[in-house]
Amino acid sequence: MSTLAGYGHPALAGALEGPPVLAGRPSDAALNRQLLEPVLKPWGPLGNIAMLLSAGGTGMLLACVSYLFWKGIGALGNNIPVAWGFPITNFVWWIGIGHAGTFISAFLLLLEQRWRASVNRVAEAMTLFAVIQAGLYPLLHLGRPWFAYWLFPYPATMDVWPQFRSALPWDFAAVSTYFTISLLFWYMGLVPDFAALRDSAPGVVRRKVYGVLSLGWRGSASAWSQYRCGYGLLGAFATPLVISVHSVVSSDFAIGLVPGWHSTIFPPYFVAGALYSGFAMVITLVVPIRAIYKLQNVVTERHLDVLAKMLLLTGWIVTFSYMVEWFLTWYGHSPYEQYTHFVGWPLGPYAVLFWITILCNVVVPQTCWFKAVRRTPWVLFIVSILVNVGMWTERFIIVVGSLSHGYLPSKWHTFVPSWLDIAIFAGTMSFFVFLYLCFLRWVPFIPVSETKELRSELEEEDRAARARLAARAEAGAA
Amino acid sequence: MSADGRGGGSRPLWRSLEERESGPAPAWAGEFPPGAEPPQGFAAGGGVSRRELLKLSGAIAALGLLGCTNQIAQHIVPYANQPPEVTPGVARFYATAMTLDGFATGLLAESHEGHPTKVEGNPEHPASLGAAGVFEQASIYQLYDPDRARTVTEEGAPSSFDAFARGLRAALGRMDPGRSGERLRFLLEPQTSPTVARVIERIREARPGARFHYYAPLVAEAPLRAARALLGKPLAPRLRLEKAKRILALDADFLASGPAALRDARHFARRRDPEKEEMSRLYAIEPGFTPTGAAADHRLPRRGGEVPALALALLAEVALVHHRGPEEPPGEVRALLERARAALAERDRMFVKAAARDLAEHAGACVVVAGERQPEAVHAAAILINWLLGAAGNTVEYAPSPLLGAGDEEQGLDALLDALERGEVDRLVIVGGDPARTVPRGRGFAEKLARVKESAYVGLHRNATALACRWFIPAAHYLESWGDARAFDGTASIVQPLVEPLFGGRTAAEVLSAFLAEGPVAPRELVRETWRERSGKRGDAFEAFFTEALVRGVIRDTRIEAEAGARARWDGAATLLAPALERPPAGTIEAAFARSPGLHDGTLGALPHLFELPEPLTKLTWENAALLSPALAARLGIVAGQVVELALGPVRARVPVDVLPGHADESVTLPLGWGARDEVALEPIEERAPEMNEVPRRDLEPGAARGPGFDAFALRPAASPWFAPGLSLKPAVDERQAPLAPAPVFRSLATTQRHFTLEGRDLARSGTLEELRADPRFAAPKDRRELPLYEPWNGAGRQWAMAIDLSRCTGCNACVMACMVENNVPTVGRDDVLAAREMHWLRIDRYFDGPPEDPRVVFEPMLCQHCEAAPCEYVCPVFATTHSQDGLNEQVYNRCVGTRFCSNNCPYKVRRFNWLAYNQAKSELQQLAMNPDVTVRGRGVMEKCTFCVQRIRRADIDAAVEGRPERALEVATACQQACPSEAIVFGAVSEPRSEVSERWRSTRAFAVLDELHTRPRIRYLARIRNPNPELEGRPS
Repeated sequence: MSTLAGYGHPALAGALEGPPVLAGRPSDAALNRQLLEPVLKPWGPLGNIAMLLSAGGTGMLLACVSYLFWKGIGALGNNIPVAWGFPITNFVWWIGIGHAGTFISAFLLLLEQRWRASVNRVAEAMTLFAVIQAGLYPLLHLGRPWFAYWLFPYPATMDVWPQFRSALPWDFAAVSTYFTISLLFWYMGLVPDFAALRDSAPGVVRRKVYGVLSLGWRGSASAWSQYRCGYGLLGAFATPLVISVHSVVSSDFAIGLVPGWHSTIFPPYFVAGALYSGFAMVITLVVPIRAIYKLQNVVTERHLDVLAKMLLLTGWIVTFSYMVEWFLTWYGHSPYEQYTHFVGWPLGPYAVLFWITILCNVVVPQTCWFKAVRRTPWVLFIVSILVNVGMWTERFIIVVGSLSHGYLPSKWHTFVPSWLDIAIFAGTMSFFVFLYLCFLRWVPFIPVSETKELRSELEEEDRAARARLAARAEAGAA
Repeated sequence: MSADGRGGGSRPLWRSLEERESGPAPAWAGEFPPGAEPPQGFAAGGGVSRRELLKLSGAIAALGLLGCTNQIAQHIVPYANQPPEVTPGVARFYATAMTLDGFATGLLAESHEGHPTKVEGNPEHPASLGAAGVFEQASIYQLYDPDRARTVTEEGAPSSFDAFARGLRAALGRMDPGRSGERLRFLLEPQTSPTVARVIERIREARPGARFHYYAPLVAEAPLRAARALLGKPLAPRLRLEKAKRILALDADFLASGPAALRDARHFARRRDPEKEEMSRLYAIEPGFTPTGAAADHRLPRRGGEVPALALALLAEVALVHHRGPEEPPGEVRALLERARAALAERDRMFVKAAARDLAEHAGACVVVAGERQPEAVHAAAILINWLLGAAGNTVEYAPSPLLGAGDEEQGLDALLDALERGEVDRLVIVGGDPARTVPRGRGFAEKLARVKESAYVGLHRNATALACRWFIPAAHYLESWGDARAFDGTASIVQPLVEPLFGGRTAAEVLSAFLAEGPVAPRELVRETWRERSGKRGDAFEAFFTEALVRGVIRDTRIEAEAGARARWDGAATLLAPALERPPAGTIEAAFARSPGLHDGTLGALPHLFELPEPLTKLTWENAALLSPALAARLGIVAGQVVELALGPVRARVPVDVLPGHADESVTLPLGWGARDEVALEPIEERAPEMNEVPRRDLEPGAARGPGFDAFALRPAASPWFAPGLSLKPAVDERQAPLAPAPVFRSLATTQRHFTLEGRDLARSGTLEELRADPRFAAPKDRRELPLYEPWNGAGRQWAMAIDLSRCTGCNACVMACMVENNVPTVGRDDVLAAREMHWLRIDRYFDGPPEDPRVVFEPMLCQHCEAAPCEYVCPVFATTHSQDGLNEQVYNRCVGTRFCSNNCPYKVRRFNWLAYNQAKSELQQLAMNPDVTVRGRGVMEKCTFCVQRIRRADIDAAVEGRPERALEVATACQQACPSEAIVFGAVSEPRSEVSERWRSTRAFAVLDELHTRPRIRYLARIRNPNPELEGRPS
């Protein structure tokens, strides 16, 4: 029972489910050393190569975007009827990925879930960077991107407003709000850690930079008190956004009358799908980070276990949504929708992608019923990759699969991505990785202060438990 | 610069290659149109007198003092003095006429400040009746085609028309001092022009030995030959379908091709509206699939070579069974007919018997139409049936053809080929067409042409014939020409120009006049002289006559009356009909050469708008394919889009195939007119395998008319130019991989519609006449509950709407082309059609129904439905698509940011997006074809049908200016105006008496996808078929 050694008493083992959220009780200094070291120590060649590669990919993205603007969006594979292709598929996918971050940091903060402490910043950064990728697409896919600001309700001299009946201005508002709150939340959490870096970073330049970033944080008790209050409030603001953003994104489809889109189940279905893909992405990121930085004591098997359970739960919500959609299609009796759901998707030109979706989103998460899967990092990593593939194909089927087989069979036409579609998708992946590597390089990605807090809370509990045991032992002796 | 055009350094200065050859043009050349007299004092070479010089110097000095400011050079010259009849921004219309294979279609050409932008049909013209077909509409693009030739050349070197005329006169004097005209030949496109006829007559007078020949690849001589044998004269049939209750087409596409197609389609359509008149019934026997076959109530797909036997069996049925008259066939014919009846194949028996009975029951109100591709026997059978059943004189009349030299074999191509063979020709002038390419290769025309000492070609393009001739003279487009032409019934029209010849082109009559003693005569004078002679009027009376001819677009009393006494006779019928007994052997595949509905014979030039026009049945663009039936494809193991090796006699070709349901089995249609190339065919035939050309590359050689697709002309055997048995097909193999594994070769075919069935959806409703009688509301929307959350918007005041009668639509594409011309719709090229990005605002959806061997067809023109509850409007984030008070769904190009949500949400998928800058590549010349009333859309914006809003607003303005409110209702959309069959009607549905309201009230009216409650402003009238109960439900 070596894993339970940290609890100080074997009897505690029964009280807790599974492995601990923090292995051992390292001192503040040890935690500081361990968690700030990745930021302070120079990277090895492998890290630099990864950084260079992702920077190159980002450069390619810039080149592709320049070409796209120069040539026009005819350079993409879109057509009539499939007027939305890769860009919107990728937009929805990236936005979905961005979901788990806020869910973990805000939702679970309010629910006082302890396990969020050590993974929340990893997840929040993922959110931020995913939303940046997502936000690129609606701009890039416009016919005349230089007029994108017309979707924003600015006081135009000609008194023209955006049309508020259209879901696209909602999107504009929802995504920009979400990004702003996520950024603030992420940054606020970072302030005490930037202060810690300021205090321990070698060299004047870094100290100054981190000093500026820490906004003069001193760590006084009153500062902490206000900080906690503010952080909690921001969490309360952010929580509804988790629901709203993807609900709004789903309206892009649900308000349309395209068979395959026109469904009231879309908002909850999309939110569940988003969380599902978001948790998968957190696993995809956490597993290698944990291994590379040897953080098994901070990000324990317990964390992986909980994330896997969330994957299972949200996977089931997604599966249930599929079933409801099929039922409603059958019950709704629209021949067009029935064709789309029962012929167009499962048997049509994108049938392979449809069945990949079913495999990855319905079958694969069922592996998480098994403890062995939940606690074996590499297996979980593969599961998470498959889930992300499944969620991408699901978005593709919804966007392209629906549009390609609309009401009039005369205008059925499939969509084939152009090289630019694929290059831009790969480019945003690179950009995401690039931003993430920058984050890993220069920002403490495991919240130091929160981990310390967790440690002290756990110690407190240990002490109380020991006292209780001692009291009980005394009572027994008496 | 001195007066002779030489610069100070004595180097000759020239402005054009032509000027360089002919010496400097007189100062006034180009300033005044050809034919106009130069002003006094500018006489060529006459110089200026001293007095005049002083007067002019004084005037110049005075003007110079008046305008003592620096004049900035400007390229756009405003009307300094506005011509009284022109208001900038207001289009003017001029009557003119376009010819195709010689026959005129009367047109009204729209001119915007001096350049034509659109043509409409002339309602007074018998061949148009107000409609204009695909080629008439596309002629605007032909006028501004950058590929048009611009320079007179001799042996490829720039020259001038003057040099040609001078050299000609010298050479004629040298070579033909006796003015006999022997060894001088002319090969013209078929001509009806009285002016050309007059010039030819005068040349003949001067040089009696000169010979004139006429040739066009799609014009057959069989009908006239059959008529000469049976009617005594080479008379051409003229249909009067307004009277025809039963029609049988023997491989005749009378609805879409031929000199009276627009008229015939209109008259046919009037009898397809069950609410208006007693409905007609159409039978069609044809190998391919034409709009006429698609319109037929019963269609028998059979090889082209089998049609004669079927025609004969039909004649036998009519003459032996149903006919009780004095004109009993003589014994010899009777025996022939008996044999034909006996030889009738079992599978055709029922069709022939039922059709013959039906025709006979409607004697006097029925007609049999024979197609131009068919041999004399079929035309003879048609003439005889029409005679026996009393159709002649009622539903069909026979009249002398207005074509020059019609029916005269001495004036045909064969006579010329013989003369060339015998070396009797020293000088050959070819006017129009592209005979070097289109005459079957086996005839060796190109080789023979190369041996002629002096040859000249007059044409719009430097094509294969041009390159084979010594001289090339650019022709004037009809919109640049003074001329005249006659319609199918002889009605003459004056062809008047709307613009100066853009490239100094010459008309046929003008070039021919170079052979007259007085040398080339200005074309306007030629025309006026002709009509001065013909009208017998002089002075003011003639001016009044000529002005009326110009204004009306037709010249009165020029119609050629039908021969009332033309009666068929049995004499000679036996020899004429006998070949029809021979059927092509079963099991052999026949190559059926066919006119391309979108290109005619391919000599119109490389016009992207024609290339991108979907073929009515296959919806194929940018190329042709060998068309075959699904059964034959299955038997040969070929799929659509596969490349096959065709072998016909010595010629081989690799071409793609397309599978067309309803195509006759064992027959492969090879559409002519594609794959135009400019090299001359001099190599042995075997080596001239036609290859698939790619999209025309304009950058290769300016002036070269090139076309995509394969050139079926190169495959055409001399002996059987239309139906050639013994075609072999085998899947082509990729040689590069052949040693390893024989990989089949595929080619993506750029079709605009890939899915051909309705999937059981109720989108294009159709039924039979009986079903309509049993339940007049069978097509009406089912009783569906509509539960609107908001009060439905019905609009106030005038409300625009459209009604499209599917019973009338023949899928001829006239509306599609008219829409493109009117609304500046760009082409996108083959690659973007493959990517489903074509821009047609109006497309014609074509759905098949029934068995693939004999499907029924419904054409459904699909355009913006201008929904009252438009799904596109509420999803646009920037209000770029909105609704107007009068019920139009508007697109604001300037406001569009290009999210394309509107297109996604459009159930009809009629919105078109500018994926790339499709309009940017247009040259200045091509830009002249743009309608200035319609915005030219830039990259990244959505567009779609506007119901021709520019015409609506013009009517509003005119109504306000004229103080005549009813003028605002006099609006016709471009598609409606072009439609020959009156399938499309546009108008105010708020006016209960309007035609559109009447159609909306029809029991046949339905809205596509009415269950979506988009409340479209277009109602479709269900397609009604009128099948013969005897044949209904029986697979043929």
